[in-house]
Amino acid sequence: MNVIQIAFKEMLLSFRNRRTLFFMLAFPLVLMLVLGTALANAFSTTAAMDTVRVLVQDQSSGAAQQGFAGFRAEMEKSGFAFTDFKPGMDGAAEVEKNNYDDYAVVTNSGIKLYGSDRNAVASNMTQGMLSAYADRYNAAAAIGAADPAKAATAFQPAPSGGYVKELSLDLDRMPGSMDYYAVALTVMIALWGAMSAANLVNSEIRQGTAARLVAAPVRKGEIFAGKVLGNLAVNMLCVLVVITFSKVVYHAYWGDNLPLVLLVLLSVVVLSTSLGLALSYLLKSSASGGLISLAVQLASFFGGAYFPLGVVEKNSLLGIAASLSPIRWANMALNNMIYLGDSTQVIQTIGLNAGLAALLLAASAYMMSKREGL
Amino acid sequence: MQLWTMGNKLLALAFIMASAYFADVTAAHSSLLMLLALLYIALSMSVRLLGPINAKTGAIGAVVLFLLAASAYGSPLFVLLLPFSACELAFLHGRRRAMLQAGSLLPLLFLRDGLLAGYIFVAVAAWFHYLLYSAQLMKAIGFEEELDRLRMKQERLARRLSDGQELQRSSEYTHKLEERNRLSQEIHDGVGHSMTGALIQMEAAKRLLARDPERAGQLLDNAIGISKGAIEEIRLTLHRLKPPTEQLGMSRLREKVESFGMSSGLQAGVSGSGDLESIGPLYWKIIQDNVTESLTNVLKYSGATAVHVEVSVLKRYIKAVVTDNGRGKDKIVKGLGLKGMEERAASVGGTVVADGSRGFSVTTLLPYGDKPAQ
Amino acid sequence: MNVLEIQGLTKKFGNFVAVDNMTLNVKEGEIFGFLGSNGAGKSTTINMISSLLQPSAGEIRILGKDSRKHSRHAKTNLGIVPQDLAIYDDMTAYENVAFFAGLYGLRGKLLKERTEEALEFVGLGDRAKSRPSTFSGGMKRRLNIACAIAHKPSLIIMDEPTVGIDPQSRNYILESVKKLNESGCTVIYTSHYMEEVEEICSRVAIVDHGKIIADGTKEQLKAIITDVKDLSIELKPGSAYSLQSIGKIPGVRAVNEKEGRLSIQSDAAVDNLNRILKSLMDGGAEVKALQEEEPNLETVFLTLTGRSLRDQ
Repeated sequence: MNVIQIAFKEMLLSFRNRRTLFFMLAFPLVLMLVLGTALANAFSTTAAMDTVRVLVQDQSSGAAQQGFAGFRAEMEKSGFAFTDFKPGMDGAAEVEKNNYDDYAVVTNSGIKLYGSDRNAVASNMTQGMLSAYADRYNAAAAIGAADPAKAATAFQPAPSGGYVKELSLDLDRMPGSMDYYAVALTVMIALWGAMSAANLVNSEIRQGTAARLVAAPVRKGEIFAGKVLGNLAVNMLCVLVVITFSKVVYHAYWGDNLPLVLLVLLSVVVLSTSLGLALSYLLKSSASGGLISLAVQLASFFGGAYFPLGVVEKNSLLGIAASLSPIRWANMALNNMIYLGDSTQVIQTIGLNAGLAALLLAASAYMMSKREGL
Repeated sequence: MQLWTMGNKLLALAFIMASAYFADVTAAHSSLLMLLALLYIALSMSVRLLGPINAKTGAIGAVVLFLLAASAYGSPLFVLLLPFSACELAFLHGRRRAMLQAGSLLPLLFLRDGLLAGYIFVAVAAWFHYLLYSAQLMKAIGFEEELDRLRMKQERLARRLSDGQELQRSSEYTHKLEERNRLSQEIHDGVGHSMTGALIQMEAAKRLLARDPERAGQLLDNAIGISKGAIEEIRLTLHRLKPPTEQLGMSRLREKVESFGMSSGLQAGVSGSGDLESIGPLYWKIIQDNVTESLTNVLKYSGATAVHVEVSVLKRYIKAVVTDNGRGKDKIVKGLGLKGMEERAASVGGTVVADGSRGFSVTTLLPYGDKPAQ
Repeated sequence: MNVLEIQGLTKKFGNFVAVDNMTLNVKEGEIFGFLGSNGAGKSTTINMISSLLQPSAGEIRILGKDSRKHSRHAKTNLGIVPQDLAIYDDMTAYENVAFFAGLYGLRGKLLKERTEEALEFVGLGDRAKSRPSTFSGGMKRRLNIACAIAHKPSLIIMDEPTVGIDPQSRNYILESVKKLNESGCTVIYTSHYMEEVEEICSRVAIVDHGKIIADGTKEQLKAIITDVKDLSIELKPGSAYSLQSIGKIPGVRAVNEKEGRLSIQSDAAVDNLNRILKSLMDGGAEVKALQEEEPNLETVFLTLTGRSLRDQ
């Protein structure tokens, strides 16, 4: 009962606080509108469809060469222009000079691809095509090893568009700018809950009310649980409002499986609350507030809340920074589910978030029990 | 109990995850397992957070149901975690231990060979730990009670000690009475007899004065001799009884402080106010010891150039203050010296206050006379 | 009966001893004052009683039960008015009081009644729906008190409740403390304002460097340093009076007259001012000015510690 009372008080205070309303509701909604309309072009599906220029050095022989030639013919129908490598050329340098978008080296043992940073979308597409082809080729090679007779049919080029279909380009839906930002910014405010969570304990100490709470016949665990619950409820409510608003007013697309979307967001909210709480206990002073907002802003930035980062190199600094951002995990998981119907990543994300949250909550509960006062 | 079970649970969980992983490595399944494991951790945590015994029981019930569901739909290995929940229940409801023990054997009926051995092992280990822990807990409670008993005993002894001090004071009084008694006895035995003898001789001389002046003169000479002896005896007695004045009181204190000033090179002064005569020897002893101790400290730590000792007799308190003009100290750490002074003062119900705000001062406050009613 | 018993209470912060082996009892119905300068250990003691701090040693018993072993019992019977304001600025006065009272287990109709009663008691009944951010300093202090009394505790601890407010609010608060006490509530009151303690407290402990150096009623404390009060009475020239009859009034120890000014030494414990004046008036004398020099608690503090209450 005390838990509910404290949780209710926490909600009341949050909704009376103009900062909460501004940061958790007004800010994301306005930003959504601004970024969604301003960057509409960057997301339009036609812009990326320039011819993709690929420099090919074919060192393969036999079946592999035959297979690749078929693939090449198919691809030229879908807007790819292949140019043969001439001796004396430096493939990587050509790509660097932007004479070509990609440089592919085909050998019997595999395909090497040098992509261009300039045209990430084009490189992505080429990479997708080639890996689709490589999969197919491997399958055919396996068949060939087992039953050479069937290998020939397997090497037949796929029907037109067969490779391209693997990508989302041909699917009905591709995230528009508003759709993208609706997801990204909602995830962002879910994580921003960490900032209010960091304040849960500090604000009581600052206002002196910590003394009253501790002096009251309420167990510390109840105070802790009530505060966590209240904070979760507030943040989840904000997330719900933002989703509803973006859906109804901005017509953002949230996919068919809304409950699962909400579950992902709930896991982010739980994670952010635990994160904020744990950090505020660890750092004790008011410095924690600053540090948490910094961390959250960085996570928002690298997670692609303000502008999409596209595909980044896994091992680059940016890649590592991005992969550390819970916003990015959730973003990718949600986009995969909404647009590709692929929910494996969703379950992983929920599990990861819940696990981290459990650890952080346990840690903060432990630190709280060790402390004098709140 | 909680730490024990938590450790056990984590070990078992790790074992389950590991064996599940090696048995079946499809991605979807392992992420489901991960989710279940994390949910289990979260649920177990919630048991810790809940307060009342009924809520705890309910939560453990939920964990049991969850485990049953998880072993049905996730991995049968989850059944291995059941005995821990049974132990937790047993810990909450000690009396139904046997029933719970039997209950935790129930799943044996449904288990296959491989799991059967594992389950028996886990169940036995869990119950073994539980019994061990319960035994230790009983022991700890026993110690607690023992401690309480000892504490009470100590209190009783302390009271007896203070009674003893009361006794000491009253015996001091008896001692004084005895002293007086001895004094009067001595006067009676020695001087009294001599004077009686002299008186008789003088009486006889008076009668003989007219008849036999020569004899009378002889008698008078005798009387004079006896009287002289008696006076000498009185002087001796008094000398024997009288304590040397310089050993007591203000003059002795002054002498001490002055000699301290000489040897240390500090400016040292003494002043007194109020009815110094009324300070009893016991009190002088305390004052002198504390002043000496304080002076030593002044020399050791203060860096002062002057020190002043003031003894004042208030209406119901005696106050002795040693003040220096040294560097003082903001937060005073009590050393052995201060503690010794406190103990001396406490023997007559007084206190010692050290203050380092302006130079350093040590005030000894001793209540005396009719104390204010408590 | 003792509402509060403290035995050998000690609190160390590292090497520093903030409260040093303190022992005291507070009886039911008292207003017990803790008088001491800032940093004397008053708040640390209070915080240990209200279980904000764990004692390093010693025992606290509230209504006869150990406050650590029976923390629920202890906490339920306590009301705390912390030194710093402890209210939520974004909740109305009513919500503040009701929230804290709710933590003490009050629900529903009873909660509503008690909340209104508490607000009425501190004179904020008509401002129940306003937020504290619109309140004056004194009103906030009063709300701070209301939050501590709605659950009707048997012991209220007030830690410097009048710091930094106007004299009017201060008087109001002192009056409320007296009213609370009359309604059967035991009060512990800490302050470094000697006048407040002298006005409302029935028993006082003088605290310095974490120790109680003297405790008792005001009279007992004053009697520690002297038992004489000096009266100086200036008379209109030509007034007639009898030194003898004044000398016979109980408590009077000595009477002197010099240039139309009477100086009377009297027993501090005997209240005889009225009788002295009556005796003068009956003789037809006219009193021009009167001065009573009685030691106050400040003097007691100064004499015992060598420092004044407010100079740090």
